[in-house]
Amino acid sequence: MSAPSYAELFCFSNFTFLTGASHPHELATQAAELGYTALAITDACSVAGIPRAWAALKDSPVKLITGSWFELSDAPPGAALPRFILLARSRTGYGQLCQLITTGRRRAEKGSYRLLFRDLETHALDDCQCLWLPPAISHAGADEALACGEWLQRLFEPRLRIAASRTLESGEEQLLARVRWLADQLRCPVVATGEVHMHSRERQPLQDVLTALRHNTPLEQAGHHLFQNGERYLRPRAVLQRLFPEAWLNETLAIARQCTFEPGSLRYEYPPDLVPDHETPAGYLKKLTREGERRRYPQGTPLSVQRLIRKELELISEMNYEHYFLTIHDIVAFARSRGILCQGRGSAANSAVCYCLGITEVNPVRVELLFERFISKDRDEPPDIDVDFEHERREEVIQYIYRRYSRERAALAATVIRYRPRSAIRDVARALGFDPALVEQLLEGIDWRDKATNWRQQILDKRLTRNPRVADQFFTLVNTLLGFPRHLSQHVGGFVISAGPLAELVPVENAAMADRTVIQWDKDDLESLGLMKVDVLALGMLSAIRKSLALISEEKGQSFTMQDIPGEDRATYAMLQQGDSIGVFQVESRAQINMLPRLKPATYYDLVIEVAIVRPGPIQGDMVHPYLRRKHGLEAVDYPNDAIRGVLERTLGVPIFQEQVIKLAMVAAGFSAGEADQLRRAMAAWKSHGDLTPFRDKLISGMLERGHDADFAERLYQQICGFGGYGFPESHAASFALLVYVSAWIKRHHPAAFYCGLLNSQPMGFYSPSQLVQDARRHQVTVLPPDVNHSQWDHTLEGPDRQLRLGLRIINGLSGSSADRLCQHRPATGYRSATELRRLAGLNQRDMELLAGANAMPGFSANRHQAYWQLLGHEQPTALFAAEDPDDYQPDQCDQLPTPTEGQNVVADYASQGLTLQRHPLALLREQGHLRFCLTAEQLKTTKAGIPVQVAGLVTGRQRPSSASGVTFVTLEDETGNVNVVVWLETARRQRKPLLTARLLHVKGVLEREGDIVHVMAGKLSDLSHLINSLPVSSRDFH
Amino acid sequence: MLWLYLHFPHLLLDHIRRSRDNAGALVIVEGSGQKVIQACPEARDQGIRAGMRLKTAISLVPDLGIVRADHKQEARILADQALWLYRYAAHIVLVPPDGVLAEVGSLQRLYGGLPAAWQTVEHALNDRQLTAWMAIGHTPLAARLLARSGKGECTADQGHILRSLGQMPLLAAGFDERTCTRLQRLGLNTLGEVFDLPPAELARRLSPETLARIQKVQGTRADPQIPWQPPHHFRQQADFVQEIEHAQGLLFPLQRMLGELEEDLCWRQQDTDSLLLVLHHRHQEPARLRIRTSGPEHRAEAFLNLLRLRFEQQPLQAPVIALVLSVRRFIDREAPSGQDLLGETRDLNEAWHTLVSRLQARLGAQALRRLSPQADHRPERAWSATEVARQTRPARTDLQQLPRRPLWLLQGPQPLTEAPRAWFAGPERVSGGWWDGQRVQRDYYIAQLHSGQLAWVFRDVRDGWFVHGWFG
Amino acid sequence: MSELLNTLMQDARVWQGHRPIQTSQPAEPTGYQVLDNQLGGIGWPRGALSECLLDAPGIGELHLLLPLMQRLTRAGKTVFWLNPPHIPYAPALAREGVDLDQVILIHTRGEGDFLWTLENCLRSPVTGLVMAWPDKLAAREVRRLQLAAEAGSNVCVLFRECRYAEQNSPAALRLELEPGDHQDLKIHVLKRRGSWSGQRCALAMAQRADLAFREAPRVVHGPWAGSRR
Repeated sequence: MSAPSYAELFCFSNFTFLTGASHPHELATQAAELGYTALAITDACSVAGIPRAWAALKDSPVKLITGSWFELSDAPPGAALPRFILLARSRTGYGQLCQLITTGRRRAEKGSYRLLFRDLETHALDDCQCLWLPPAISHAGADEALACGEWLQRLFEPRLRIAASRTLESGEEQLLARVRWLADQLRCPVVATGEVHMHSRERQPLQDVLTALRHNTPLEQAGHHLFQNGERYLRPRAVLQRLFPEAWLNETLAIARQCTFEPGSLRYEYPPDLVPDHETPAGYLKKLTREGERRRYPQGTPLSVQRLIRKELELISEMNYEHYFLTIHDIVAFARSRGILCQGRGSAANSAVCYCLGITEVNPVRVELLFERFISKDRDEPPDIDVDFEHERREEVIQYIYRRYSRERAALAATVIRYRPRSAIRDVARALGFDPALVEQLLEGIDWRDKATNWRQQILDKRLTRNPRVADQFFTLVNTLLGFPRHLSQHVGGFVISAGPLAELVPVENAAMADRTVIQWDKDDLESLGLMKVDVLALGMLSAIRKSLALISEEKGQSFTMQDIPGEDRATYAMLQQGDSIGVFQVESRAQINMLPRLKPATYYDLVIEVAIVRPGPIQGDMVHPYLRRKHGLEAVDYPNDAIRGVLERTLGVPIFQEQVIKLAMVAAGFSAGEADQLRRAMAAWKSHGDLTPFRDKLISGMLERGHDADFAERLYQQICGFGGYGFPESHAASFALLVYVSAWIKRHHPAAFYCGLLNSQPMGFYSPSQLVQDARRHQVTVLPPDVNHSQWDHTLEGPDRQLRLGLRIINGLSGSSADRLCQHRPATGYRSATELRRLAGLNQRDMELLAGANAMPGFSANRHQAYWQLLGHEQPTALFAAEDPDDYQPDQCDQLPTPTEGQNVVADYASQGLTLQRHPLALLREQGHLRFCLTAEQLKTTKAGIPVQVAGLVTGRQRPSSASGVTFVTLEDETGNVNVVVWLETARRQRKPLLTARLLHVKGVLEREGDIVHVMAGKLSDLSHLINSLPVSSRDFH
Repeated sequence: MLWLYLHFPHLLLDHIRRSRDNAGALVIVEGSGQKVIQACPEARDQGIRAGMRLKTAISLVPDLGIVRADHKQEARILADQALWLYRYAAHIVLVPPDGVLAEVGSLQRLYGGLPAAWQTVEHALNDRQLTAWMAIGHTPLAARLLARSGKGECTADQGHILRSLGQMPLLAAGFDERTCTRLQRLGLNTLGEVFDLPPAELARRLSPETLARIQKVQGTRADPQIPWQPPHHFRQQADFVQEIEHAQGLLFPLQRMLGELEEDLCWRQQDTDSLLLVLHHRHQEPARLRIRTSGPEHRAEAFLNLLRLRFEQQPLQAPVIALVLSVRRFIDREAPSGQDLLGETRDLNEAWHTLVSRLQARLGAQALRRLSPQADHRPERAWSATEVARQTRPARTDLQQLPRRPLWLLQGPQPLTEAPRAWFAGPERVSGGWWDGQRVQRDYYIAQLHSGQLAWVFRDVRDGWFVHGWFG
Repeated sequence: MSELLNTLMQDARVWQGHRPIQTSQPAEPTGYQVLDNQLGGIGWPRGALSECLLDAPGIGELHLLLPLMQRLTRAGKTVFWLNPPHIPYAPALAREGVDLDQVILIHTRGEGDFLWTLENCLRSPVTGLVMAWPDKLAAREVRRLQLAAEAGSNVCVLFRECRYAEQNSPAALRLELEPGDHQDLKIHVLKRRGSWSGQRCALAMAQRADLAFREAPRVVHGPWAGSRR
């Protein structure tokens, strides 16, 4: 007798968080393995797991049914609390299901839902199948159970079934007896279900762990919260045959037949709003492009660009993507109308069409891009454009999108937050009842980079448990839990916009942020279903550039925009070649600063490479040195054949961009475009959970077939692995390089405006205001202290010399509103006394103290100590109308107070503003003789390599990049600049204490030099922090 | 007056280290486990400081020992320090969480001079393996500040003390954060500079409290201290001229001692549930008898009955020359509730305690047990037996949720030796307990044996059949 | 003053000395009408010994006493289990509505302890029921127990083997228990006080395993076939 056919209609995936113990794809694969006819994924008030299950079942005979499990928050009068499953019978039913989920989710806090029985009565659900899960004997009496069934029957007749499951737990027979009785009373068929929580019984331990975590208790005490056994898995059909009557099994098939909805049939319907009535989308896009052409190329569009535009428009039209480009154009046009700076990036962004539409500033003439990545016909997937906006004004753009399309039609994509090693270890340990303090210690102690001794051994070494059996259990559980979804969060800026109500396409739920809603799918889900999203991202540098441009316009007396910046300016490149790039977009990190003098960028395209090459991908793939050797003519460039030359020529035969790796797989190994794209995705996922080995054989054999030698093939594969998820697409690099050039140009030609714009956009970038101010002064910018009679809230440029006046925003703790009042009520002649300031600006004692602490009232008293003394004791506000003559202001001296020394002023400045305009603390220490024998950063530049040196400085950064094995890079700051210190692992181990805790560090070491780049290889480290005692210094550590 | 202050920079650590053999670096972390609040000398040598993030501390010392702070324990340990110091000084003040203050006058008298007194305390600290920073001051606050900054000296010279205080950095002077910031912003660095400010201005511009604090340090303002009281402890001793050979002979003196205990308890409105009786013998180690009642008790008669039973069970090992009765555990008596006044619950309660105490005295406390269901799917773990103590009513589990089970459970599963006459139900599958090594994987059935017994049988993963219970 | 205070403090003792109000019902209903009828409408005698004679556990012998246990524990009386042969299973007792706070399980070692304990329990006003499983009892001892039982006014049930049926016993009630054909319990009244004996009845006891609910057994194959070790 062969096993009966069966469709599983009740199955939780791990998108029912802390309940389901298997991934959707695991369930899907297992259902196929067992020969199920269909599988419904029915997560709790959610369809978040559907796309993944669908992707796994796309090419399998197993039908995927979309459904969801619900428990209502209230019950109809006299009835038991309804618990049931709804299955989508059609596209309409799917929309109804999504609407209901949206209602429940939107009403409750993030991560939960709340549905009332009235909702079921008011929502149309006539195209959904309902499976009722009757209450257990212990939960409800027979009358209440029956009343509940009758209520559902009224709503769903004849689409109601009673679900019966066999979990072999105590009380099961009573429940089955009840099911039979209810079926009889209601004349309603019974359908068999598996109440599935996992794809295999092996997952029972993990399921138990999840249950314990859900109830926030260790397993030892989880007791009856746990299931009695592990029967809630996808059971072989032969087993089901023994457990269920034939009719109940057959009923599953009948229902499966009626559920015809298929997720792949979801099609994105574009918002029609953007096309004027009498235009076609294609015509309108063409028209807008034409208009843009006239703006971009007033002298006439070059022929090559014309050809490109024609080719692009044809492809867009063929794929029906006009609406997508129109949508982005609309958003960008809005931003432009409000003076919000933006810049597109992504594969489709740097196209001729996008240049004309104003989505990008990258002129297609200046960069050759891979047309295949623009839009791939083979892949049948939407184009990819991300748009960066000024970080302080992105919210305006988001609000515009909500206004334009309404909240019903626009929502953010989700980001699935998954278990990472730390969270997995922490949670499993909690469930197993390990001491949390030990676990934290363990987590702190694990060196995640240390691949040699894996963390499992490290845990054993840490004595968390001596019992190898418990350790094995622990590892198995942690490894299984890794990658499990924990909750849905909001994507940084990916919007989904639809033609009709979005909630009929995908459920919408609340995000943690007030007034934000997210859909239940993330960007991968959208991609796999072929749905479109628009990325609206925030970029601090755009804010800074806009502010700098405004200052330049002010200076020039006329508008000055990004388009007015001359291209390929030699002075700008000369500056970058010096490594003088603090504050410049993307190339300001220590690694980039070191690379600039080696790469010596002299053209825009060099910048594109500069941006992409200082990345873990190229570094680990060992592409940097070959490229540099070839660029400087130290090594010949040769290509195995012309096809490869075509791919690699612009990067001198070294693959640097992600696109090149993909393209190489195609031309050198014969991958189809679709296969190459799979490779791209695997690479993107590689660092988290992907696997590249399936591609290895194909790649290598493909290359051997095409006559490449095995060595080359293996190297390419290694490069691909090294690239991993870190590869940088050329199109992104091109967009970024543009901003690199723009910001570098401003720095070179308008330094005051540059630093002012940067300082006004803080926090952003790599450097603290203190470091930026020091760099500004090194570039001959005069910086003036904050002053109640001269400063605005923002930093400003004063006078014809464009001196940078620090704004009141630099004062820690001072509120914007107080500062605004101060500026607003400032008499034309300035405030005359502290009393007048307090009175006119309505400042409170705290504000006054902050201003005095910042020494921002230099006109009123002898020094900051006296100024502060005068303020104290005035906490009681003066009567509102009390006549107060500022002229009878008495100098209220206190003779016992010391006059501030320079050192005291420096300390006080740091405390109040995080920087000082006095001498650098290191200059003071040097003067006092504390730093004898120490060379300054400036002196190092002219010191010979290989000689022992001593240096000292404030520690402003400690980094241990994953690309450098165990080396710690320490950045020290002195009065002349930064000193780069390299600490080898062994040195670091022996001198942990000064390395990790010093704020002022003294280093004895050896000077090393590579061209203009100077390092100190650390030998002996000493902590001199006691010399700067109370000076607050902040360091960027281990980012 | 002169004050001695003992500051214990890491009392909890000292306490823990005393009972540890390995002397590795050890820290105390705050409750949430994020920050180090105490670091032992070894840890400090390696760069760990109080206030450091635990993360940083572990990077410095990977095999760091970590103990979580326990404020109750800390308070108890501090009180222990007062207890021994009480032997040397009459007037003691606890300054939680880490200080003890003692008036030096009495010490000086007792030991003949300050240096001797200082040394005595130092020795006592050494004996106890405690780290304490000592200081002498003419005011409690002066002593405290000096001790906490580690600048204490054995001197009674007020001028010298004030000079030391004057050099103390502001941060060490214990001002609240706001005052400290303000004083620093005025350019002041030491306590002495604050002393120099005009007092009236100090009160007006900073706060009256700041001035008061300065004056308390200087001694121009009173700073009354609440003296510490040693804890209550009941102890009565009876010495016998003639050795007592039989337990019976002890009952008479005990009656009197228990009577005094009853009076003491009534006076304090307290009960106890534990007495210690130490019987001293001439040629033998003393015998220690601990008597526990099943609930709070104060009546001499009840205690005596229990003792009598105990003596019946456990005859004297040797003739007794002295008898000490002591009680350290006191329980506040609950106010009788209104219902007790009307009903007879109290009486029954007492009868219950009397019976249970009596049974426990003879059979041993473990012989009596109370049963309760436990939330666990494994049948052998689904119940527990606990010693019978005071009447407690644990939270009731939802009875409806409990599975149908037999009234008898076997001590351990017994192999099923016959094919049952009839099968009734099953299988009920139990699979769980993988996490504690007691994994169970069984299918349970109800079956009737040929003897007519209704049995709860299971087949486990090894395919064996067992009886696990009887439907009694 | 202090004397007055002293006196007030001494009032802590005023609650002493009450005695519980004696309700002098001579017997407790068994909770089984059929059996009560056979016992002349009275049930378990109080202030006297009862004996249940049976050879093997698991025939409904505890269920026989369950109604009494439920009633007594809910009334705040203590039920003692003295030297039971197996573990009285807490989840089952709780589910049956026995208040476990009032149940005390005692295990004694020596014979002397057994009798002493039983006596003490029986004499206490807190006791409602003592169920005891003696090893063997001399007639003299049984008489002593009878006296103890009389001193209190509690129900005391001794569980003994059937072979003692022939022995004389001062117990006021003696029942012989045997399994019936349909999981019922057959009871033979060997002795009852103040009346003739020899009555027989059978009590339905299938509910003790919820058997009324069950259909014909369907034995599913072992779950772990293939994973045997």
